[in-house]
Amino acid sequence: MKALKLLTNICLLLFMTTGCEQDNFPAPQETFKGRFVDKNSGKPFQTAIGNTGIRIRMMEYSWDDNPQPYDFNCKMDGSFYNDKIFSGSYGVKPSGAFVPLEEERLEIKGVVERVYEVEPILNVEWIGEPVLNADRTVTFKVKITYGSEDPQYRTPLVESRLFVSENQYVGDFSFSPNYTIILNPAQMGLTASTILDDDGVVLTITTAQAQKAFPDYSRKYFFRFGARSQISFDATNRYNYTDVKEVLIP
Amino acid sequence: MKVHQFIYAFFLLIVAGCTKLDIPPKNIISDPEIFGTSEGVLSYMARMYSTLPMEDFRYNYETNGLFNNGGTKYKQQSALTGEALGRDTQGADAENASYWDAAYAAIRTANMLLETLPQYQEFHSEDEVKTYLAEARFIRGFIYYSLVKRYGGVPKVDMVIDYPASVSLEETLLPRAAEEEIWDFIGEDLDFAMNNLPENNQKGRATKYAAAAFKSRVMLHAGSIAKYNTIEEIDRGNRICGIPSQRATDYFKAAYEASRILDETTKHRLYKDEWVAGDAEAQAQNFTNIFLKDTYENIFVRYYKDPESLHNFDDSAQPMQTSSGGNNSELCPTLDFIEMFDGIEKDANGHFVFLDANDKYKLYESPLDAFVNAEPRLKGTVILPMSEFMGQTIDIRRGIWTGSSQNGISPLMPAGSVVNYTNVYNESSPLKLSSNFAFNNDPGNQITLKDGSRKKRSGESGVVSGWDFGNISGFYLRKYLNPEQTDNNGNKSTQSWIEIRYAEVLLNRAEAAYELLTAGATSPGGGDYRQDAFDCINQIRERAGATLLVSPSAINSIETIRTERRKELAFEHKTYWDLKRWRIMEAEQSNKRYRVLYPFYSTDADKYFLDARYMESKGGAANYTFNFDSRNYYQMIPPAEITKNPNCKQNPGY
Repeated sequence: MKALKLLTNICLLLFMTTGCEQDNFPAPQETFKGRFVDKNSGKPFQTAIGNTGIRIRMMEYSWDDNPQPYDFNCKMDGSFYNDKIFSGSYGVKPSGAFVPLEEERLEIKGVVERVYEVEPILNVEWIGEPVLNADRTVTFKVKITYGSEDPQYRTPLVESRLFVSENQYVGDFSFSPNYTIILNPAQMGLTASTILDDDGVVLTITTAQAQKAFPDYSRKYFFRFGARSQISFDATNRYNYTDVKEVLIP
Repeated sequence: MKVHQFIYAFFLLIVAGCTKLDIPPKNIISDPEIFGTSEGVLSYMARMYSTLPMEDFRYNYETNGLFNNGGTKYKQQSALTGEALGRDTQGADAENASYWDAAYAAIRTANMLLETLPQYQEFHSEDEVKTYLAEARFIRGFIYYSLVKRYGGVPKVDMVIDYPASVSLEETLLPRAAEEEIWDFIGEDLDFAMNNLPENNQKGRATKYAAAAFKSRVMLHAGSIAKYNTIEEIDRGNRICGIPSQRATDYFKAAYEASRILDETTKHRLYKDEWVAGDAEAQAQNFTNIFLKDTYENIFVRYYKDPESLHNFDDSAQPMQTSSGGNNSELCPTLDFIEMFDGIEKDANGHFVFLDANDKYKLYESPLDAFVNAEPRLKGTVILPMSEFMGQTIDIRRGIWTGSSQNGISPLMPAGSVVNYTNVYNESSPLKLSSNFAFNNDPGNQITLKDGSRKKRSGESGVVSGWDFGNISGFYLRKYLNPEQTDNNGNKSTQSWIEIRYAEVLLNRAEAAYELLTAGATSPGGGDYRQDAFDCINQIRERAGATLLVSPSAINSIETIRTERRKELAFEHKTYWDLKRWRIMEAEQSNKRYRVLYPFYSTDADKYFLDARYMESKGGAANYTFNFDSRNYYQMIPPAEITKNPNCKQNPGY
C-alpha cells in the first residue's frame, strides 16, 4: 500500500514537471522615437497630452493583415519615445491637428528615429511677450493663421482658449476653469462661417476677462493659447497650441 | 426439416424488427412545439422580453454584456452626467463594456420568430399572430436602437442568416449599413408594431402606445443626430457615422406625430392621484410615488419579482444610515443638478446663495430651511439634508465648526477651491472633521455642544474627509428608493423599472415641436408648434409644482425644454443619451468639476451653515474631474468583433 502511494506520488510529480516548459518570452524592447516639427517654421509642433494631442497608431502587419491597432501619444512639445515595442513590420500613421499623413511601413528593430514635418491646421503664435498690468492682470497678444494652403483645411474657427494652469502641463487636458478664457467666434470678432484671409486674426486677451481674478498672494501661472477650427480627425476636434509662457503674478 | 423451421423462424424475427425507426426524438423541443402552441410562443416571447437591452436597475456600464447584471453597481450612469456624484464614479467614463454579440443573438431570435411563426399560423388566432409578429418587430427595433445610439450604422440583419446551410462564411461578414438606413429601419419596425399591436396587452408586454411612445424617443434621437452631429465616416459609400442634416426635419416630424398618437387614449396620462393644488407636500409625495406604484403614467415597464428576479438599486443608492449592509451612497445628487429647480434662492449666475450680504455664511436652524420654498418635484426626487426617509432624519454633515460665530463665519475655503478641507484645517483647528467612519463613529471623537449633548462630526451619513462609504455631495437620491426596503443588502429590491412613462412623451413632443419651429416647418394640421410645446411643458411643470410659464413666448430657447427634461427624467438613465445626442457633453465636461453643498454645524451659533463649493479631491485618483472624450459620441466597436469580421469598420478615433 505504501509502495503504491509512493508510486502514485512519483507519477503525479512526473506529470506535473512535464508542464514546466519555459514560457517566458522576452519583453518588448525595441525603441521608436522622434519628434514632430512644424513644416512652416521648423519649430517643435506644440500639442496636447493624451488623445487630444498626437496619436501614433501602429499596425503590426508581421502576422496579420488586419491587426488590432496599438496607439500611443506624444509629449506636449511634439516629441515621442517608446522603448517597449516588439520588433516587427509596422504600418505607422500619426494623426493630430495637422494635415493627415499617409500610413508608412517601418521595420522596428533596435532604435528607430523618425522626424515628421507636418503642416498644422492652424498656426497660433504669441506676438511679443505677455504684459503684466498694474492691476495684477496679464495681457497677451496672439495671432491665428491657417497652416495649410489646401482649401479643405481652411475652415472657420470654432473656438479659442487662453488656457491657464497652476502647473507647467497646460492645455485642454489640464487647466483651471477659474482663470481660463474661452472665446467663441463672435468674441474673436468673427462669425461662425468666417474664412480667415492670409493675414489671419490677431487677438489681444487679458486675464481680466476670466471668471475669477488671481488670488491675492504671489504665485506663478502657466499660460498657453490654443485654437481649433471645424476640422476634426479621429472624431476629436483638436487644438493647435502656442508654447507655454510662465508669468509670476506679484 | 428442422433446419428449415429454424431458417423460417429466423427470417420472421428479422421482419418483425422492420418498424420505422426514423421518429422525432422526444427529448428535443422543435419548431412545432414552440411555434405551434401558444405556450411555446409565450415562452419564446418571455425570453425576448427578458433579454431586451433596457438600461434598467440591472444595467452596469462597466460589466461585459452591459445588461441584466446582478453584481454590485459601483459605477453609475447617472454619475456620468452631472446629475450625481458617486464614490466610485470619479471621472468621465465611457461604457467600458460592449453590447454587440448579445445584440445580434437577440436579433436572430426575433428574426426567427418573424420567419417561422407564419408557417404555424393555423394553430393560433389571427389576432394572436398579429400581436406576436408586431411584438417581435418592436423588440427588434428596440435592440437596433440600443446599437445605433452607441455605434452609429451597424450591419443590418433583417432575416435569419442560414449559415452554413445556404451561405458561406464570407457571406456572413456583413459591412456596416449607413446610420440613416438603420434609423429608418427602426422606424419601419416601430410603425409596423404601432399598427398591429393591441391597445392592451399582458403586463410588461408592448402595446400600441408603447410602440408609439418609443418611436417618438427614437425619431427625436435620430433628428438630434442629423442636426447636431459633426462626425462623418464613410465606408463603401455609406455614411456609417452621422445622418445628412437635411433629414433632421423628417425625423423631428416623425417624433412629433408619434407622440401625438397618445392623444387617442386616456389610458396614459400624468399621474396625479395624490396631487393637491397648492399643497407642496402632497405634490412631492405624488411625484415620489410615480416610481413606487404601478401607475397609469407607465407605458412600458419591466417588472421584478421576489425571489426569481431581483435587483440591487436600494443597495447602491441607499443613505449610509439606512443601509443594512453592503453598498451605499453611490448616487449623491450634485448642487449643479439641484440648482436647475425652482424655489431656491439663486444669484445672477443661477448659483445657490449661501453667503449673506457681508460674505459670511447664512445660518439656519436646519439645512432644510434653505429649501422651504423649493419646487415639490425636487423634494420628490432627492433627499435634502436633515429630511425624513425610512422613519429617520437623514443626518448629512461635513463637520462641526467650534470657532466663534460672533461676527459671522467667513468662508472656510477660497472661492473656486478644489482641495480637501483637511489640506487647510488640521485637528487643532476649530473645524472638526472626520477622516473616515471608524473615526466618526468613535464616541470619543464626538463634539460637545452648548447644551452639553454630544454630536458626531460627520453626522450619521457623512460626509467624511477620506475616500470611504457615506455621502459625498450633501444630498441623497429619493427617486425610486423604496422606503419599505429595510433589508437592502445586495439583490433584494423589486421596484419596477419604468422604461417609458407619459411625461417623457410630453417632453419628446415639446422638444420635437420646438425643433420643428426653429426649422421653420409648418404643422400639417395647422397647429402652432410653440403653443403645443408650451402646453406640454406647463403640464409637466404644473404636476411638478414648479412655476408655470406665463405664455407661449416663454418657449424661446431649446434650453427651457432641455432643462425641464433633465429635471423630470433625472436618474432614469435618459440624460446620458440626451447629452450625447445634443452633442453638448464635450462642452459640458471639459475639465469639469461638479459642485456640492456641505452642511456644517456651528457650536457657538447652535445653527447650521451650508458651504457651496466644487467637489473636493479625496486623494489618489479620486479628484472627480470630468473630461468627456468626443470620440465617445460613437463608441468603440469591440475589437474582437472586428477581428472576426474585417468588413466591419471601426468607429473613428479607436
